[in-house]
Amino acid sequence: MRNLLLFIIFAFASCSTDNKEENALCDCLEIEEGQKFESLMKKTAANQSTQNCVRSKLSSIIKKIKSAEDPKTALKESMKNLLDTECADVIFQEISLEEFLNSELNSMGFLK
Amino acid sequence: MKYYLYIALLFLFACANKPKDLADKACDCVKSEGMNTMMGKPSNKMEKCLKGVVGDVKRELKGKNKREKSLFAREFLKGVIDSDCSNMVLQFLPEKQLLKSLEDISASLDEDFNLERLIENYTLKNIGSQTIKTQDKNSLSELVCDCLELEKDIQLEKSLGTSQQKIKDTYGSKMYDCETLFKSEDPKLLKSLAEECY
Repeated sequence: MRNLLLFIIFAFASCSTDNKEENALCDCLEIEEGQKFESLMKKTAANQSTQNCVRSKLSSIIKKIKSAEDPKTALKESMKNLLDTECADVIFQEISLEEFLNSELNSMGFLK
Repeated sequence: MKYYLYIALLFLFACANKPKDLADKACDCVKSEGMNTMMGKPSNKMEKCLKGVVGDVKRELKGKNKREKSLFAREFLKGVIDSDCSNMVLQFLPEKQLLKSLEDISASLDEDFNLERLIENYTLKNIGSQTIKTQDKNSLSELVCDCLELEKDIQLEKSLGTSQQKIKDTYGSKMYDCETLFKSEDPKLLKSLAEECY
């Protein structure tokens, strides 16, 4: 569950090239070409203005989902948009999907 | 006619979405048990089925580079979000509860959102504890040096405390090549330093 939370939080802190609201978060992180996840996290942790930016963008995404006609669908769409971002790409270059799945399935109690 | 068949097959393979198929397969494992069983103890059948999907994922990822793996993982998760299982879970989640959770997250952002602490708790700590388990000298020295570097750069609340001073006193100016320095250290010392840090 912890990994899922980590993923959701940092997926929210994502960036990309188009104009979807989720992608505005990218500008906060100012990801560089070939940047590693760990260095991205260190840079983010070190910068208060980046954190404020992440907080503000994350807050507007939550508002958008809450005010949607169908919040459940909006949540799903938002998560998929986040997965399309460049930051999600950086994150998943560092995470092993196999380990992620084993960990999540275990925490959900699907594996004994 | 034969060529048309080849072209049709080519299109079929090109259009097949393996990550999404695997996400649906994982959902089928769970769906076959029904929602009630899903909330309880998993049956042997469901566990075997899910382990099979994880095995398929492993096979699909073999030989792929980092970027391809990332793309696969993200497509897989998008498949999970679009799967019937996700709809089933959301169906059982009352809209009021969902909105309440979002409000809680929103409120916590205004009150005590601390990305630094979050990263420290959820990322570095996890990576650190996993590396310590490996007991590999190269990884451990890298970990200790990362910790010292972090300490210097961003003043994390959780510090090495007396150990950090001890390291500085012992190694002094040699710290410029941290990893080389620690690679030659006693693995037991490295492990204990890494444990203190993370």
